[in-house]
Amino acid sequence: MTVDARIARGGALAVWAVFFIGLWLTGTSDRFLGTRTQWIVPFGAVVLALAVLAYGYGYLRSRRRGPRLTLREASGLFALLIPLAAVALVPHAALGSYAAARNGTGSFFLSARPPVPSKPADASFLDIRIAEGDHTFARNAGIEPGLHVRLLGFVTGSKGVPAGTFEIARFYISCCIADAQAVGVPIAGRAPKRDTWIVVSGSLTRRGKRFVVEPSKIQRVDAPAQPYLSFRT
Amino acid sequence: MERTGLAPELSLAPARLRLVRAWQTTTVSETVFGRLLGLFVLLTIVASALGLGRGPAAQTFLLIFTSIVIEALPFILVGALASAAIAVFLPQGSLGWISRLPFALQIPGAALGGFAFPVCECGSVPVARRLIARGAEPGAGIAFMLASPVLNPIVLVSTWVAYGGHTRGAEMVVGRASLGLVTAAAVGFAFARTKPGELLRPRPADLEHDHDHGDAGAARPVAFATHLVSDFLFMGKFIVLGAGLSALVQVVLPGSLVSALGGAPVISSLALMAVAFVLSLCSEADAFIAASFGSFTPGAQLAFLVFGPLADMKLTVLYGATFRSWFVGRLLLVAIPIIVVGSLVFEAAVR
Repeated sequence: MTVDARIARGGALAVWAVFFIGLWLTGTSDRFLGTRTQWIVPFGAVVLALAVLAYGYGYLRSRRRGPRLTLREASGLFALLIPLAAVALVPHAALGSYAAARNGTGSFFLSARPPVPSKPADASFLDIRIAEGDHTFARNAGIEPGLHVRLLGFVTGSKGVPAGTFEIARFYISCCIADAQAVGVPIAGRAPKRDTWIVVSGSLTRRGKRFVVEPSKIQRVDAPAQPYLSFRT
Repeated sequence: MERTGLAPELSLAPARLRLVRAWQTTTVSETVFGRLLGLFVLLTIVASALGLGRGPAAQTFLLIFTSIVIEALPFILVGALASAAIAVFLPQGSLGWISRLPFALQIPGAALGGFAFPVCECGSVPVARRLIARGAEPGAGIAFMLASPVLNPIVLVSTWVAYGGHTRGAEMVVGRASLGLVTAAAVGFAFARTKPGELLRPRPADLEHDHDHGDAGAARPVAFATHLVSDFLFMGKFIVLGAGLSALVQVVLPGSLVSALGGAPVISSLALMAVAFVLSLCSEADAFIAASFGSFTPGAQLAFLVFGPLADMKLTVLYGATFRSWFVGRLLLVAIPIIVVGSLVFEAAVR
């Protein structure tokens, strides 16, 4: 007995519909998408589910024998299942120091100008990095030596930091994590192990072109539920 | 597995062609399909248990790969919806207005018609062939075929979303629409004096649309659902392939090499055009992959976005089945210089 291609197609479609519904209901889509593209998940879940129902209705109404599944089409359907298998392989993973080393230093986002933080002490990784090269932004945001900041990030192991410092960073996302860019700030002192999540409290000092945090307190913490920050303009 | 009938002339064909033909026509039995599915699930479980995705490189690859697919698939679905609606509900003669325009207006008019015709590049090829065969100026048919996958609203909205909206998204949308329109019209004019018989490959059947739309004789809602699912699954596998290659490039290639290539104006445009050709992405979702090439200049990303829907590996196959063999050469000869120059102009304008 050969396989009716319509059943195989409907099955592949149904698997994707279930996946999108799962992403939507569990709220885990933020591990893949930025805040401004989150709407894609409920949209995909609803439309895929409707497509499955319509296709199923068409299959039940059709009395004719359908096309048979060929090797070529079967391989295409299995290819469509590969991303779902990939999700199963990295269910709770997030980008870390390896990706940070390859994705530069946030240069993608540094040319943009986000709104200044409401309070200088709320300065984020991106605010501090922009303030290093933009004196007007730094003045407007109140980012200057002596400012007390609190930063939550992971240790990158970056070599491009002033001597005697190590870098912690966060990934900023515009649409999805394919465009994620790590933005880091140097911390004075000895580096903990790579990919360790820490909270650093301390004051900003200037070392050459870079702002460096002189820590008054460093605390190891678990990775946050949302490891990425959204890039907004 | 069962082998469906092979054409008699293929008995003399080279072994490779026979293998390809067998790949396309050999049907899969329920037993084999069940075993393949079981093997797929088993491999996933074993790979997960062995922690194959936990290394930093593998983890980065898998995360980027899945995020591109998750973001792109709903847009593929929208494209499939529009394509199915056109195939099932649009009357046959509704595009005939193009052939009634004055000659000088036909090509730009046909290119502009792409704004209102949301089809993928696979779908626009048979539409163009039909237009030309019915007496439309061949250049107009070509201009329409090249413009619609770049200019249609779904593509422009997905481009805007992929580039985060606001000023940057608007710049890419305007750049893509303008350069796509100019390129489509220019290529159309390059084919303006060609006779339909010289351009089209004589083919009695509608074989050029590679996907199987199945039950064409069914009632409209059933035909609509069939078109929708076939188009979605057909295009979805190319997105999976493209996302995999894109993620691989980001993980395997040293960041410094990609950055160096991305900084050189003309080379970066040509490099991303070559990448677009290889990836063969659907225009409704390619902006998400273009936006992920953050180390390349915006001009090079624009070249990727305009060139990909005009020429890629899967389109070359469709073009070869629809047009004479010289078509692709002339298309590339006209399109590549225009896109490179256009990307440089865009780069200068947005900097």
